[in-house]
Amino acid sequence: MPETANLIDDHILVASFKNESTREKAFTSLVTKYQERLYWHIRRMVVEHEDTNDILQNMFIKVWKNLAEFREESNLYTWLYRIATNETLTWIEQQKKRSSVSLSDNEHIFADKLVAQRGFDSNKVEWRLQQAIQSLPEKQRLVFNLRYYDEMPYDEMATVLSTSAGALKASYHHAVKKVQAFLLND
Amino acid sequence: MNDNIDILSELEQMGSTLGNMSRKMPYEIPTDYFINLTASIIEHVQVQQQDDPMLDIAKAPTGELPAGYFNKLPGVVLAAAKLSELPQQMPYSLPETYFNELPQQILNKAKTGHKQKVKPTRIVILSVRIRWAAAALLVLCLGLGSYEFLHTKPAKPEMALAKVPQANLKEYVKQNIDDFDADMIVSNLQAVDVHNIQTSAHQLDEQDIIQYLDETGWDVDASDSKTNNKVD
Repeated sequence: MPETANLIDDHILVASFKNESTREKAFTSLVTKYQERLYWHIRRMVVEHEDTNDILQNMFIKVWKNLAEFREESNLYTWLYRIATNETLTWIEQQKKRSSVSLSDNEHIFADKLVAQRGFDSNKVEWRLQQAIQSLPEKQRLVFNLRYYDEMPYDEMATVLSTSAGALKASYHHAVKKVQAFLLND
Repeated sequence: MNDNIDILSELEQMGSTLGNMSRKMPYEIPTDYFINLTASIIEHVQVQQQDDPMLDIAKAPTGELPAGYFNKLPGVVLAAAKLSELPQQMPYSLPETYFNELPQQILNKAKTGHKQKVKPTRIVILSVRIRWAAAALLVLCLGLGSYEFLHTKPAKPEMALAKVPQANLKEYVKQNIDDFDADMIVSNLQAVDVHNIQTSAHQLDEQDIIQYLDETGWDVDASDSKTNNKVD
């Protein structure tokens, strides 16, 4: 669970945002606080910086528009991850529809983008790990990233992805095995 | 995000080698990206909050109106208003209680129809043995049919005529061949070299003649006299 101080900080941020006079300052603090985590959450999915930047900015604009109505029934960061995840998945779906390649080739879009990244070196383990992660199905990739990189508890992940914690646990274990097998086989 | 979860220990417990790997992302980011991000987002938000300049353009009067548009407009509006005041009731008449009874009628029909539809279909379930027997019978019928079809020889006219008594044939000739036909047969026979035929008939071996008769379905005993007649 997030630290209590952190929750209080988030509660103050939301309250400040709801106040017209402190809205911009609160929003700046919120973006500063969460931008890197959310940036990496998105980039791990879509690989390219420009795409990540577009999604992240759209996501924060949505936050600006909706944060005043946020009822704090869930944690702020869970809510932010949920928006970021939905924006990312929507963007991926749009890319698939725009793409003229077949459905099976769509799954390799991000693997190809990864190879095109500056500094890519398939002999280096950190790039091999990214290749292994990109070989996972979308939802499993999300689960793996949220757990492995963001260390998100399953119950919070369940809120972000609207799935049961049990299913997520199973999905993560499968993902770990697949990633490991990928690294061992190549 | 969460200090209480030690993912690397968890992976080690799972026996995964991922626990020993670096989680550092190898991707590059533009310099000062995160420093400028907030300002960039706020700029976007402010742009979105500004009034759309297109709205002002749309408000300005553009394009030409039909001549006398505003003069005619009150009359057009009045006509439309009067039209709206016309009674919307249809002039057709209906049985007084039609709509009260309709739902029940439809329900009754639906129930009756449903019952008819629900009438169970009789399904005959054949045992495995019966199915095999039926299949074997089908194969047998197909086999016999194929054999009959492939091995039946077409009936020859000679064989059919052999069964007709000579008296009937003579009677047929009497009734159906007139003088003209007889003249035609005689003239045809004259055109043929009858002597050669006789000569070749003399050269025929008796066995060949018997074989021919067998093949064409004539009884050898019955045909003896005919053969003799021909040869003679």
